[in-house]
Amino acid sequence: MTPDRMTPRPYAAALQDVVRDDWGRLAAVLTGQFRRLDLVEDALGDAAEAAARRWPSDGLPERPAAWLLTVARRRILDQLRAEAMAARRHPLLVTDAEHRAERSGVMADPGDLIDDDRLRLVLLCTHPALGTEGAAALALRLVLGVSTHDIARLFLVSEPTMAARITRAKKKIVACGLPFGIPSATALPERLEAMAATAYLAFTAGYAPASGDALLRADLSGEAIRLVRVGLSLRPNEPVLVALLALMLLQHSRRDARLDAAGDLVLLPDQDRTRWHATEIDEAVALLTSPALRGPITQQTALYAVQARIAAEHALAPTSPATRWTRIVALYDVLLDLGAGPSAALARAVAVAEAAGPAAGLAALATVTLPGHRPHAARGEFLARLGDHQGARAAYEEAVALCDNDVERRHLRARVR
Amino acid sequence: MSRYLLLLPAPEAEWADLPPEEHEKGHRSHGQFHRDLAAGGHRLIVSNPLEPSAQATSMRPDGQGNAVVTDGPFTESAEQIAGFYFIESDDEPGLRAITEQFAARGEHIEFRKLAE
Repeated sequence: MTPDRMTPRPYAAALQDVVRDDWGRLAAVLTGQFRRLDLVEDALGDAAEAAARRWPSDGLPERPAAWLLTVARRRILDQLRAEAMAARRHPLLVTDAEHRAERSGVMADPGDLIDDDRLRLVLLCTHPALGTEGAAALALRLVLGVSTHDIARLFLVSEPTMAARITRAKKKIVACGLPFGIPSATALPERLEAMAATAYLAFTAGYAPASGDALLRADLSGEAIRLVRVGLSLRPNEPVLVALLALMLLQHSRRDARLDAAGDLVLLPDQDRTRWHATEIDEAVALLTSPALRGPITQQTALYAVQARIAAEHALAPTSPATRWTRIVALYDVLLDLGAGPSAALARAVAVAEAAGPAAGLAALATVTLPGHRPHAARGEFLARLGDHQGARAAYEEAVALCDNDVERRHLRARVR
Repeated sequence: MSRYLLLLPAPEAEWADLPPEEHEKGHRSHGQFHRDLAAGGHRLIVSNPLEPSAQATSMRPDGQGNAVVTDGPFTESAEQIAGFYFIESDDEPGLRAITEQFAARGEHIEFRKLAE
């Protein structure tokens, strides 16, 4: 925001910074002013493009964010004017918009007004009517300024597909007249839960791709963490966001240890714990003692919090053998009580095997109804530990056949041998 | 249709120091209560934890037309309201029953009906 004019950094880096830090703020201001979400993103995109072209020759503007805002605002006004002409309407609308634009000035809005607009924007982008995937893409694009290219990479679809998905979401907002407002106190918690679910979907998309050869695109998962932090900056102590941030930080703290130099998957017990990000673990553990989680918390919040506590057990164990598996089993019991799905039941079976031996693990696995390759991989592992190598090989082969992720399949093949 | 305010007094200083097992018990218990409310057809209007009472502000008249504003809760006591549920229901006995179960799981609860 405040570049040092004596030693100008490369313009591209300055632009990247302002996009990263101010995109959502600018989008919120523009949406607040014009109520035309469908125009805002294109206008900001055009403004960023113009900046890339003009800053190198014109020099870095004193206030890059204000520069982008002014250009984007002009684009929107042009567009509105064009629409008005096309509709052969008297351009009253435009004049009105122009007046409003003038009145509010360039970045002169007081901070809380902008923050309100940002909360409105986050809630609008994560509106349940959009569907979680569309909402996640739109929020990353509009609130955080993540490029369509990167969002496409996160969700493993082509860039045109993602661009179309984002456009559809924007059109839906305009067509359905979804309000750019803050819902009433009784509706707000539900909307914040929808926002949390959206952010978590984007986060897990970066870690658990169904196919493709990149096991994780952790940098992009980090963007989802940023989305939760934006939410928390606007609604500090919101239980669902506190619990979710703790969960994400704990999972994310292991990103550098999950793949070895060859790009192969490293399982939790074999990970180099010195490569875990300790500051993130510390922050998450502190979040879990927050008073926000002591009182009436919803089921969704409780699910995030308990998952975070499981992750914290792993994060705080000094070595893999020192992991308190009995406690982890107890936590999975809580999680299943809270209504968690079959993947939690599978994880519980794995914990049972660690706490009470592979035979107990097999027994726990018998009731797991999860489709896909993972239950078979677990069964293979338990059978191998019991010395049933033939049974283990058959289970692993079944797992390989069902697995559609290159890295995981390579890992499973290595086990078959 | 009546409305009910369930206040949750708790010795708030301890929460952060409690072992994680106690935190989980709380999570499980609140999650269960949410499900019991839904199953019994009671409508949850709003529920939330409150910020610590140390962050409360108390206001009272000074007797000369002004207000005395002090930091902290109105009454000094070890137990302060740590959160609340605001519920609408046609079925008070049902609501009382699940609230009692909630208390039996370890929660302190003050059950208040809104005056009609």
